[in-house]
Amino acid sequence: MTRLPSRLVVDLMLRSATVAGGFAMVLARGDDHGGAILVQCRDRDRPGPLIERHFDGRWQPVGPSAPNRDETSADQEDYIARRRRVDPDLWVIELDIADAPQFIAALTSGG
Amino acid sequence: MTLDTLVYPASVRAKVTIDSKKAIFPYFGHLAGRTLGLDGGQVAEMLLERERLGSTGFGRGIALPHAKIEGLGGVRGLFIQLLRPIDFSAVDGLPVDLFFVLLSPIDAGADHLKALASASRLLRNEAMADRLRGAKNDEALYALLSDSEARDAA
Repeated sequence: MTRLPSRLVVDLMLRSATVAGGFAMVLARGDDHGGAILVQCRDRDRPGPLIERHFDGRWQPVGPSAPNRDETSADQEDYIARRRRVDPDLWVIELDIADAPQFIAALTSGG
Repeated sequence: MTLDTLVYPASVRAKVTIDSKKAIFPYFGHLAGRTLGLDGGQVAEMLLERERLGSTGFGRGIALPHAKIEGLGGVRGLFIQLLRPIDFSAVDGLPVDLFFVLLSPIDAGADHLKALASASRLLRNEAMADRLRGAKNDEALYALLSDSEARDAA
């Protein structure tokens, strides 16, 4: 898979989410070119998985899994804060859209 | 992290008349200066600097400008409801009339992220956004922001 610069992938995600009727927001800015991207998925009030784009361009679930019903997951928040502390190049995005993991997979699958 | 620990009655403003993106940053600075005792010019400059990296207008008329400010004692918020929306280069191209301005201490990594996420979740709730737009004065606006937290905690 072609590896797009991180900033471009983030911009693509923000605009595509909006067009699809969802929301995406940059919680923390990372490095424009090589920063890893960590996405906190949600579907309205339901928290979803954390998904990360690795340096080779693939997306994979990482960190603590989503709780069943709470609006927020302290474990996930702590994980994000910890990751960000050791890696200032990391982008953190909150993505609120139906079936966020599928949306992310479709986003960059064309290269 | 709840929003009512972030905003004070004095840091919430309804029916503000500002006619451009350029003019709103000095207003944010002015409000931060009056209510939080910060250097307004510095606040405006830091918010503008973040905005230049990409609009914090995340869609449907709502924006979340944010910055880290030296010497701040904790994460603080300002809330501004404009009388008429202005162009803010938002991701969906729509003009913006609701602004939650988040100011964090330099070292508030985790709290800053949590506050941003909480504010964004609250504001993208359409019913909540409608109520915030309908608020007639500062007090009504502040009551909504604090009530929403009571509801969330219930």
